[in-house]
Amino acid sequence: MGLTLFSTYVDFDLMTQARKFSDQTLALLAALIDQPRKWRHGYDLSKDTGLKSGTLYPIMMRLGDRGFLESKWEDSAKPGRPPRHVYRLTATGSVLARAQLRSNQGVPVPGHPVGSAA
Amino acid sequence: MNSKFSVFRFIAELLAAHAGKASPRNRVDWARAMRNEMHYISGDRTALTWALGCVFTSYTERIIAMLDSNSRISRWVLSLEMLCCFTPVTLLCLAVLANLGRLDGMTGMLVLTVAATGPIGLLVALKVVVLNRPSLSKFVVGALCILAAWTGLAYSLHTLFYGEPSREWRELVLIALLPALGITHLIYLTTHRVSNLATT
Repeated sequence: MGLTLFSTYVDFDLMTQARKFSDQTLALLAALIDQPRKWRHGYDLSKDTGLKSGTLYPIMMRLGDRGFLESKWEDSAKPGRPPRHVYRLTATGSVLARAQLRSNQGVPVPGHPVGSAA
Repeated sequence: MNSKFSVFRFIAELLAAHAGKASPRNRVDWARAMRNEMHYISGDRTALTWALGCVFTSYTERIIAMLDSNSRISRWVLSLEMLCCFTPVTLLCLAVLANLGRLDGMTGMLVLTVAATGPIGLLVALKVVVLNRPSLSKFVVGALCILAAWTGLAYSLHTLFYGEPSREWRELVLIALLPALGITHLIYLTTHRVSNLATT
């Protein structure tokens, strides 16, 4: 847990310096780049990547802060349920994701077999 | 979501609500997103795990926001701090100016340059307080550093060679140490970039 938290927060401090991302971030980027224009729900992303909410959301927050991830509220189709936040990569985020996943080819990413992303 | 009452679901709801309250202002939307997402999780135990993640995230974000806000300081406190740091050496400067005729030229100029830290520091502090932490130019930062170093060095040497350090340490603190600390803090405040992770 400690190392995951460290890598989550340190990663994004170094993001602008084009450092290597953590496996968790790569997993999220891989999941998002699979269908770059599709809006994704947090729980779906959690299932896809195998990341717990406490790891997934801080990563998404930081991606959003830096303009790599866009989000919006989506009303539920079923009445009585609250609106959901949906996410997808921005154009810049897609470029970043492709570059990161390309430079990390061969590195196993949680939830994604090697070479399946991007 | 199970229609019947579940203790796990109940606790998860409480935790998610608490996470929303614990979340810093800039992350309220995210906390709400996490809480709402929980309503789409069918398993109660999974929902509880999700809620624990909400709490963990909110606490972590709160800590980050607190660490960032620690680098901010109210204007009143900063004003008081700067007055404490620079007033004694400013008074020394005024005393030197008032008695400049009695001092020989070289000594007068030397003491004046040492004491100049006071009024210059006060002016910069005034600018920082009134304009709410503008960034200082490299020239001003450099000048302040040189002034503080010169004041500290000159007064320390004077105390060491011509005074009695055991008796004059209070003056050393007031004339050399406090201005140096004030300048260090001013430079820190005006050059330290508060992370936008927690402030946007």
